[in-house]
Amino acid sequence: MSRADLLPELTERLDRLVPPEAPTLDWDDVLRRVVPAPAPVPRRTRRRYRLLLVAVALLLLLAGIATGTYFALRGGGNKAHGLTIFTGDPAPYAPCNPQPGFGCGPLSAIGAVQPNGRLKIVWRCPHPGNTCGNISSIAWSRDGRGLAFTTYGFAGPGYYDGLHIIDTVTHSDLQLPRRGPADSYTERATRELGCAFPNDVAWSADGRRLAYACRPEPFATSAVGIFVISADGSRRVAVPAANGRFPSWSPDGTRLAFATGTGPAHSSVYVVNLGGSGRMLVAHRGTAPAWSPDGKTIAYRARCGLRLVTPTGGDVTPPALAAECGEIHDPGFPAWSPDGTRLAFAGPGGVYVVTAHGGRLARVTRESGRGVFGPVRPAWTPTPRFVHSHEAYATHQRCC
Amino acid sequence: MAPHALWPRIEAIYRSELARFVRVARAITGDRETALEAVQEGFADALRNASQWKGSGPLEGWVWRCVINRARKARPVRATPLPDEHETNGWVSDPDAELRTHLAALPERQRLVVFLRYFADLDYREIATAVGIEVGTVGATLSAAHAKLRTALEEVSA
Repeated sequence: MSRADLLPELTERLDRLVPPEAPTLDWDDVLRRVVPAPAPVPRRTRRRYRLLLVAVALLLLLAGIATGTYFALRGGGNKAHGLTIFTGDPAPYAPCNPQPGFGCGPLSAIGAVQPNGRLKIVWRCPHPGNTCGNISSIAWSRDGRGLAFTTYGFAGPGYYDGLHIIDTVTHSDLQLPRRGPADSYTERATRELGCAFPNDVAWSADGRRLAYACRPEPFATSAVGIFVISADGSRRVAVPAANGRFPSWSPDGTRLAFATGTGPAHSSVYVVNLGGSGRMLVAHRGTAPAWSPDGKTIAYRARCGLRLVTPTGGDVTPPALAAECGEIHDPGFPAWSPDGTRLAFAGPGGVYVVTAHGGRLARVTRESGRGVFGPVRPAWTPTPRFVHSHEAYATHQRCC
Repeated sequence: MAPHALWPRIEAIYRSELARFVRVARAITGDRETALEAVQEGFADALRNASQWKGSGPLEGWVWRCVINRARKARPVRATPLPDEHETNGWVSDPDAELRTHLAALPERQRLVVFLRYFADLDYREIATAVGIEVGTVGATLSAAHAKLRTALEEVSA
């Protein structure tokens, strides 16, 4: 714009009054005034933050410890702490000191799976010659106090054959039939047990009774029948209409599930009342039923893998479990965990655990869990309890 | 237009015209440090309130209004921008005391128009936007100020 409207003398005087200058630019200072820097956190507030962080860290630590403890007590994931299996020939071998009339055979023992997957021997054949025979079935009472198993000799009757009911507190070993001359074993066993070869022993939920299947001979696939015996051996009754194997108690103790044979292709699963009434077919082509702790499901070994049915015969096999048929094509006999969430079975190359909905199949030990005459159903104990071999041995010494 | 879109233009005005802003602010406040602070705050106000610029006048005039308002608020309590006799930071020489007195005696609007015209060399449109008056009023206001100051100048000369 022209400066014609300005007074020259005023311009000169004003220039002297306020002379021009070149101030220093500081645009950042302007911006800081518009967008001020965040106010520093007061010291007290910082201290509170620090305390809060420490508290959260402590809580997380405690939660981690609690979770770890919980899973350690439960057996953790697919770890199967509390799972006991028969170990036909575990290492290390016990020293063999054959007695007259006894040889050195494979060691009979029961091992418990540890959280790290290794086995801890909880019961070992007390006889110095390791001739306790072949353990064919194992069962723990629900309170973890009673351990029952059946055994018979490899080559004819042995003095340790029969049904054993061990009280892990008093260390008493109730052996049926009671010991006597070997040549009278069959007679004694038939009189006291109903047959020479008891097998597939199972505790009732209340721990007062046991059920077992009787075989006429060790290799027989058929059975004489199923018997129920009191835990002290004083009373024994046959279950009518239950000619089969693998008895499994309903949680209320009024019914049994059983199979008519050993191989799933030629066997069916039934449910029957203890008095023999109400016999009902629940599954074709299946064997080794196992009644779940909540009573709602029966697991059994099918022709391929494991399947689940209701006590009325409705198939409730989860798709994931059915899909694992290929992976666990040849499972052993299933056993429910006490909490009813997992199933254990002796499979190829070890003992496996799978969740009931079919996920997370895992081998928990490489021990086969198979006896001389086939797989032995694993047994879960709610509270891991160990029967030290010297205690069992002492029992043996006292009674014999 | 988004408010932040004006920021680069305002920054360009700052970088090119800072000396003139500071000079006018010094004339208003009578103190260099106060003037510098007023200019910085005035530009900060312009950024904060960029959304209020309607685009009806020149942006530079609107920025001038922000700076002038800050300078007026920062002005010392005394009614006129008269510097201390011994101050060397603002008004520089005593022989012009008479002129300072007459400037201080001007109505504020006239004084602002004089400062903006002489120190910032703004045209009438920019002055009108900066002071908040009609463009046609700027010339009359300046003439009125000239009439009063001319008398003072003649008295000094005589």
